[in-house]
Amino acid sequence: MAANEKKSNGITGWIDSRFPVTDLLERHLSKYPAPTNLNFWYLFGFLMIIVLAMQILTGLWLMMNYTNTAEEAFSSVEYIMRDVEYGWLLRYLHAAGASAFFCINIFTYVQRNDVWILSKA
Amino acid sequence: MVQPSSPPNPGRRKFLTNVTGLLGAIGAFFLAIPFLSAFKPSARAEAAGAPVQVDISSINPGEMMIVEWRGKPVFVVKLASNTVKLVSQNLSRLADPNMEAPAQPEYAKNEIRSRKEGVAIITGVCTHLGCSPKYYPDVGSTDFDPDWQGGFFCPCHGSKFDLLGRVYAGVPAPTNMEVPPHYFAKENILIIGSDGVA
Repeated sequence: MAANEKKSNGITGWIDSRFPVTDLLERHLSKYPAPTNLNFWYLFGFLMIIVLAMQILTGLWLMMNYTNTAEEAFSSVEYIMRDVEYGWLLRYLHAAGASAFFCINIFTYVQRNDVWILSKA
Repeated sequence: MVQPSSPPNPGRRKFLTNVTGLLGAIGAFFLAIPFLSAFKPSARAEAAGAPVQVDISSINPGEMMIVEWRGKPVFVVKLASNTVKLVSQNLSRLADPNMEAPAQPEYAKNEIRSRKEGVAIITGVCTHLGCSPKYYPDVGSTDFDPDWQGGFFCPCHGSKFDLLGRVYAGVPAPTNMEVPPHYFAKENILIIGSDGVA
């Protein structure tokens, strides 16, 4: 692997000499060759990653206080909404994120790509 | 893999990268606030640990009232007038009569072990294994002590404490019973669980 004969040093160099993480990130993210005909609508793909990360994070945090039994689910949600600090925000973010996921996915991003794919068919 | 050509204006590219990174860091900081705040005690937990208020005017001298604070019993004793004398005569039998162990707030590290003369406020949990000792105010011979000076006796393993909750020497309990933070809001209104205004 000539690619990881990098001049990165310090901690990054230590990691890179064992696992080429800088090379990996550059190859797939920061130096990934992108087509020149990308337009505004491709931003929604990035937005979906943001929403996905938010769903995972808020979901984890909600899980810390939610009780998944028929008897206690409702009161545990009341507890999240009223007693947990910023619990209302975490729950609303999670709810809005679920809708945002659906909207971005169905109404813009996938449709845009489907039209593109269909035009090639 | 085709290498991307270097940007036409490297200075501008660097500036934009830095601005994006800075804005992202600011955003991440504010986003972290609700996630970290969620770890703080919830309103319910705060309420469960809140101070309790007790009206001690109904307790007669020599009697005890048990108040619940944070799920533990707190003994509030109106001491009889001869108590200070009884207690001071008994110091030689105690393990820690000068209260060196930090089992009470600084303001209660005095000979009355309280903020107010004649009122003892003690967390009613034996320091051995957590039973709740019983109140035996009467002086004289008892089943567990031929020369009892009044105090608390733990029925689980026989630990003995004086009327101010200080442990006797040679019993299972290692330290004095704890005095909770407390202050008097009015003459007869006792607040347990807060140091009040110092």
